[in-house]
Amino acid sequence: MALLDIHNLKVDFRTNDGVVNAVKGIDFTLDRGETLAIVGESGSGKSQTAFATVGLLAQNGEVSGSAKYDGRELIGMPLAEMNKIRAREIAMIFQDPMTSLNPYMRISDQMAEVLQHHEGKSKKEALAEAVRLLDMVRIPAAKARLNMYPHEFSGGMRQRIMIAMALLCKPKLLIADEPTTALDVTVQAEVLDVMDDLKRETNTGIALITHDMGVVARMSDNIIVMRYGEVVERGTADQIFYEPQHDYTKMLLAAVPHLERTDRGERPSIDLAAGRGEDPILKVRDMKVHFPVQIDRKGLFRRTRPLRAVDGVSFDLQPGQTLGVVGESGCGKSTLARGVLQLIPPTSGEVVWLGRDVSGASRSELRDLREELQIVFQDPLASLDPRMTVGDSIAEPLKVHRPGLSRSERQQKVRQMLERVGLDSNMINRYPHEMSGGQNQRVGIARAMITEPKLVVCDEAVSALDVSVQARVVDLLIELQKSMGLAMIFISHDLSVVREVSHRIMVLYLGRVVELADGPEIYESPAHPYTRALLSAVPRPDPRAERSRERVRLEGDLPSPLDSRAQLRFMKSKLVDDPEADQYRPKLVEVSPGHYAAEHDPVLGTEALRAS
Amino acid sequence: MTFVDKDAAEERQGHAGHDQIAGRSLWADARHRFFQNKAAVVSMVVLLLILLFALFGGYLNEHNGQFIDFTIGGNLREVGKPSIENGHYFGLDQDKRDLYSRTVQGTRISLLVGVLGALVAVVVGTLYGAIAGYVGGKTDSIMMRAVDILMSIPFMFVLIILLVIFGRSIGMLFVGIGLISWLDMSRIARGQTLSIKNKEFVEAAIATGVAPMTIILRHIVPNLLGLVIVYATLLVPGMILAESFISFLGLGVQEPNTSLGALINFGAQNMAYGTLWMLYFPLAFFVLILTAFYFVGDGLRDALDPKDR
Repeated sequence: MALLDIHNLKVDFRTNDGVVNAVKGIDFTLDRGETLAIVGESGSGKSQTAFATVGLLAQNGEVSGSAKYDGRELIGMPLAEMNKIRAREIAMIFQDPMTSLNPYMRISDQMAEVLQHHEGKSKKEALAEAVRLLDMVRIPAAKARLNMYPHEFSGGMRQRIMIAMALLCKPKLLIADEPTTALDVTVQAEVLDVMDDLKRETNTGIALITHDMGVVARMSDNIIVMRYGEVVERGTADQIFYEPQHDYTKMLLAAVPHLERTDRGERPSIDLAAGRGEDPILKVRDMKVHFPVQIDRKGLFRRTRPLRAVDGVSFDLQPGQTLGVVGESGCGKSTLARGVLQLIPPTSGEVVWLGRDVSGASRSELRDLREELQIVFQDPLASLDPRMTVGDSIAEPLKVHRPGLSRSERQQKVRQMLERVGLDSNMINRYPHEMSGGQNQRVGIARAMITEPKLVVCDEAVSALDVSVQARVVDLLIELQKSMGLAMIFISHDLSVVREVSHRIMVLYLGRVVELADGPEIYESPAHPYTRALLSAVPRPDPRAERSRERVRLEGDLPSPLDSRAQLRFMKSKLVDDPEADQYRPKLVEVSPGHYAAEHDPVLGTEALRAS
Repeated sequence: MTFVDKDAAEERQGHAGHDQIAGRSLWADARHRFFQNKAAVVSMVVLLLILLFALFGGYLNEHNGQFIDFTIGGNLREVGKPSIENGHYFGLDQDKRDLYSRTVQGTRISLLVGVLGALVAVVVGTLYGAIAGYVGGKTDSIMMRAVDILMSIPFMFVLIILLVIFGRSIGMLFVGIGLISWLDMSRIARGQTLSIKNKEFVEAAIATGVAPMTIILRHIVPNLLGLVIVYATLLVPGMILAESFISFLGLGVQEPNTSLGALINFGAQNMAYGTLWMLYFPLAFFVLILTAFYFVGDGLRDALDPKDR
């Protein structure tokens, strides 16, 4: 008998705009020791399927059909019985670990409570079990950390704690809803490893809900692809990846950016020759952005220590080129962008725009500058004023920089721009909440492009979008760059997307450049161990390659940027063991023409690199 | 550029359901939700009727609120009763004046005090709070400490002294109530501004080069407005209550003017003589106005609550 047997499951929501059929009658089965990936884009009903199964639907939702767990019908099961099953046999992991952990309870209490309540263990036994599980999910020094509160852990550790909690009662079925979407790639790799080990060791069935084809290829045995609440295709991982039948599956796979593939088929690709040999329009020299952080308070005076968000970054940007900036969360990539745009004034260093140093420019000088420097943000909805129509939002830069334009001229320009970013010009009076994420991001791009700037910073501009939408927005950016001769700084944590758009790529680690090289080169011959680990951690959307691949691992989490020792993680030979000491700064070494890497000690198959 | 066309067609198709040109703003959504709240809609109708009563109620009877009807002799308890025949619908007050006209007049003044007070609060408080919150730093500290200091002064006491020193007048009452009403509002507006100013759309405006004051007026204030309107509707009854309290103490509006508070005061004083109508009618209007404002405020809060989205 299958562990989970879903038959003709339907989920309807009653909303103000009528009934929405979120899930329209789907069937699937999941066995012990199997990982079933439920794949689909936002709105496909994949999460609602899982919620309906375990009875966690929102108030206005209705379920029909059948979901048998181990032969018992879950749909319509009395709450008390359901609670028992949910606690002991079915565990869930959600995307955001912070919302699932109680911030006011110590980890030890949260974990022990479950065991004491459900398995009648003594406090001592429960704590011992908790330590065992935390060790298993590789929380370093688990015993010592047991008494910490959730906020004292990093995001990756919290997610691993969530997994440990989910495993407390040895579930037979684990439902993971986008478990690694909010995590950095290196941490994601570790969390996925833990889940995979779990499946092997305890024969747990895993229902993995995700939109990330790389994760799917890495984890799944079987796959179902959902769209608009229906299953469009099902099969083993190999069938889906290598012989997709349905057009939607094919489209989805084609849209996934590949780390190793440069050929973009019919889709537009960057002009590699753009800006070659021309004078750079932007030169950044030794830029530093430090924030004073209050560490403790003794007597009257506050003691502050600088948090070095950006710590001496230099680069050039040629017109028409894209600089990709890659790094994990907290590495200072967004701060770097804001420093370049003078949204956060840099602490020191030069930003030379068209031969003129703009750091420390006056407010009115900056205002003129802003016509040529624009930014596109990550969250498409948050970056548009909810009370303003799309047209007004796009017209705002015109009001500032072209005050001479009449109302109708402005409207005309906005309509042209809307068409240019692939939207209907009739959408001019729409409000952001009436449009999809992809459409809103196009509006954000239209707003950035309307003054025809020379440099646009894309701060995680496509990270919040579904793969197929992401692919189209990337295409749009490439097209616009080619037709307008734009220079771009493209910031992303997603190394595959960065490869598609960038001429040059810069890898940041704790505010410093560890590697800077031309796009293809950094992927083909990474010189720095951090770059290697980062590249290795990205799951490839290719199940066969995933099964055979050796991974370069980084031990532990990203250390605190306040600890000066952290900077020398890859050059321990020069380390002074004092968190406040002024440490040695690894220099950038030119390993081949145009390819720079930071000095480091030998780690895992990389030779040491030393400046001579 | 074929990709754009294909793309646009696809995304347009996704929204084929409501492909109208006119946008549906958050305000339109809120209006829709508000009109589904029956208590709030009924209260709004009641408020409108009371407003009409305050403005035009005087034309409905022949009597004048200032005229003392000496033609009616005898015991007020017997002859002053409300009656349709002699045109004194609400009866007579302690000075044998027409209570209906007095109630119209009192309602008008009470509403005026409430609405004006709330208006001052909205305009001054919102701008003050938005500026303090947006600019931040030292400016914010100084501006908000000033508010703290003003708030720590017992305003009722000061208002009473003002009225005693400068004489009782409606003008003074407006000044006094206006002075204190915006303090709370500025705090609320500042708190909300702090969260709005970290949103990406504000950063986008800064990156575009929009001037700070324009950002406050174009991006911050419109996004505060939902909250401000809710708070203002709840502030109006507070203002009316404050005025009534002062008038009840005998310090508020001066004869021959009157307000609901003053009328209730006289009604209460004459309760012992069995002329209960003098209390009933003003009190009924008073309670009706307050309840209706609270219901409307509640309805607006539900309608404009961003969490509902």
